[in-house]
Amino acid sequence: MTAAPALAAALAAAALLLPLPWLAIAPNRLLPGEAVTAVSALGWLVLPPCLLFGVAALRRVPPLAAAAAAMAAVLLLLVLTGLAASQRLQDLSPAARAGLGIGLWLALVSGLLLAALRLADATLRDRLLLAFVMLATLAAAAAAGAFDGLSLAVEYRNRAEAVKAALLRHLALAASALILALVVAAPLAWAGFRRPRLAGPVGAAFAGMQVVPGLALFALLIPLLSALLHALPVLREFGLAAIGAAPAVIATAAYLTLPLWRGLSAGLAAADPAAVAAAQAIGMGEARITREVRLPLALPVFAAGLRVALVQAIGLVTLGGLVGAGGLGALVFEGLAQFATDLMLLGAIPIVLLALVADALARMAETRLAVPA
Amino acid sequence: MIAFEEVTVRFGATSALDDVSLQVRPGELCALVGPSGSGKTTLLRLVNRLVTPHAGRVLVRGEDISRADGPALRRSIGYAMQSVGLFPHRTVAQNIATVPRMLGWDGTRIARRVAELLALLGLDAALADRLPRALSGGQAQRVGIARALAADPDILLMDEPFGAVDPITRRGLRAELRRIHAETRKTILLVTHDPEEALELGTHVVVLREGRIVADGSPAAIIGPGGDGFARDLLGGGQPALRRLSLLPATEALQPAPPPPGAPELPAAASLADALSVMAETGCDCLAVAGHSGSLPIAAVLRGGR
Ligand SMILES: Nc1ncnc2c1ncn2[C@@H]1O[C@H](COP(=O)(O)OP(=O)(O)O)[C@@H](O)[C@H]1O
Ligand SMILES: [Mg+2]
Repeated sequence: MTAAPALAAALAAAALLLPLPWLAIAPNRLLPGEAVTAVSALGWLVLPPCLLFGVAALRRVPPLAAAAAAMAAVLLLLVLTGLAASQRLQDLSPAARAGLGIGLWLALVSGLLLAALRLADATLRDRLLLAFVMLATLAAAAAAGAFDGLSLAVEYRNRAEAVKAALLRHLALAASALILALVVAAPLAWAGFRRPRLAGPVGAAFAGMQVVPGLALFALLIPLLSALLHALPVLREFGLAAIGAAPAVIATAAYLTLPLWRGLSAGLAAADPAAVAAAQAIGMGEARITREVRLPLALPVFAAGLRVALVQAIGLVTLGGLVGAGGLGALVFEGLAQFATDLMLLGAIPIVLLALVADALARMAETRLAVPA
Repeated sequence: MIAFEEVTVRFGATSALDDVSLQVRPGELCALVGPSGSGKTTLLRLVNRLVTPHAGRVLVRGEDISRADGPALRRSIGYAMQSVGLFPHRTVAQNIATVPRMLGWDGTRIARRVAELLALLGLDAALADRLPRALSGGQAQRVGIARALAADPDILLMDEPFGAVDPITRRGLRAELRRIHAETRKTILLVTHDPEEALELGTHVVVLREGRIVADGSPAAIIGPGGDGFARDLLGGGQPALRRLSLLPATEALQPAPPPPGAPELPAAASLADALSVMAETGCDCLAVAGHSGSLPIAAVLRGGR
């Protein structure tokens, strides 16, 4: 276990020093580029990041400082690479692009992994603080034009409006799926709590849902919905369509019901039976017991289920890009179809960031909700 | 205050109470004792209609409760139990304030009452803002009792309220309950399986066995020579006469003749068992009692045991 940070640091350094493609200089956005190694792109400047990675792996360095060193190295690499790319493109045609090579990705991922490993025991506050500082620095560097030479940044500049719209759409789709799943799962969890005999079959049905492959379910919903709309054309009046948001939201919600239902059921069962018995014995009615005892005690347990569902929703809604629902998934699949790596990344990176941010926020809410020990 | 009239309770095939009749007068502390499964808890839960009888009637404050509103009835009766069941997400003060809040008391009145109860139960006022998790077992039991007393109910039901604490804390809580009963004169039904506790606290002791009442009376009468054999075995601890002496005040056997010179002196609150103990220790067969002019000869002490 203690060897893990050293391994991550070694990987990052290897990515920098070995002759791996670091940048790919291509004549335009679709053609493959000519590989440039880190050493030839950055020169002796590969050394400071290497040094920082080494420091971050040292056991004697306190974890927070070590993580900060790893993150600083990652930031430094990004900025240096951005500047190097701009320089390389100076004498080429305006259509020329500087794409990110496997070496750079490897260095970034192992550097972030190193930071995460060193932060494993840090408090949530410290972790969030560091992440915030990192993102703020990145945003400042981007605003100052440090990344303007990188193909990803060029792609973003050309599509900024579309990416922003896709992000909002993605969030709206995920939120709708979450709400729909909650509307289905909550009454069933309550019913299962009141009649334990129901809990088994309901749980089995939701678990069965999980077995259906995501892509298959999204695709399957299109003919199912069009059959339904054919039989009941009134539904069209409510904005239901066989293609677009409806199948994406319904299919995503189908997967979210299990974690939500589990969280709700476990939460309802979490109330101390003695507290419930006492509540009844001193004159609380059923409704009041649920409101004042069962639900508050269920909340911290339920929050864990909600967090899992939220992160899953952000991920699953990506498949909505295939059924015409839009969102960041649409960018990913468009990029895949065109073999335009940068476009694909433009969709994929925000999805990962969204999921990480949602997870962190939900964890914070969870610790806030938990009854202090 | 509370009357059970030929009450029978069944759970499926098992009969928890069988044709039970019992009267509890206002201000009594009625101790219910009996082996586990004898129906003590069931009898207690009939009073606030957590259990309904299959036959017979339960009267509380002179009224048949079968038509009463359950939750409202329960708010008018205090209830404390072994598992306490404090609400883990609410502070001590909020736990205690539960029933007053349901009854719509205003904030200042509730705050005043909470402070009063913390003092009555010997709890530090600084505990008010703690969560139940941060309390010791004894403190939690006290808070449970404070919650039961919060709306100043005239009836208090207690189901083995000191069951989960160590013997020393238990003794302290027992003394506390006796003081609270003396100060407030509430009608208390106390379930216990501790014979000593029943005899020490009860002004009225009821012995249950397999869903029936086998003995019902004052503590001294129940373990007296005419009492029911099962009850004497259960409560007498093998020495029912000695137990009985410990329940009777020494002043009750006082004789008019003055004590012999140099006779050892008993404190005024001593029991006949204390007198016997002093005699065994000093070898004197006649004692003086502080603040009284008469004497206490051994023959009079022994007569008390019968
Ligand atoms: N809710 C219940 N369901 C089924 N049986 C019960 C229930 N409550 C009590 N009983 C049964 O009734 C009998 C008396 O129980 P209880 O009043 O709890 O006894 P005690 O408090 O003296 O130990 C026991 O046989 C017990 O198993
Ligand atoms: Mg019991």
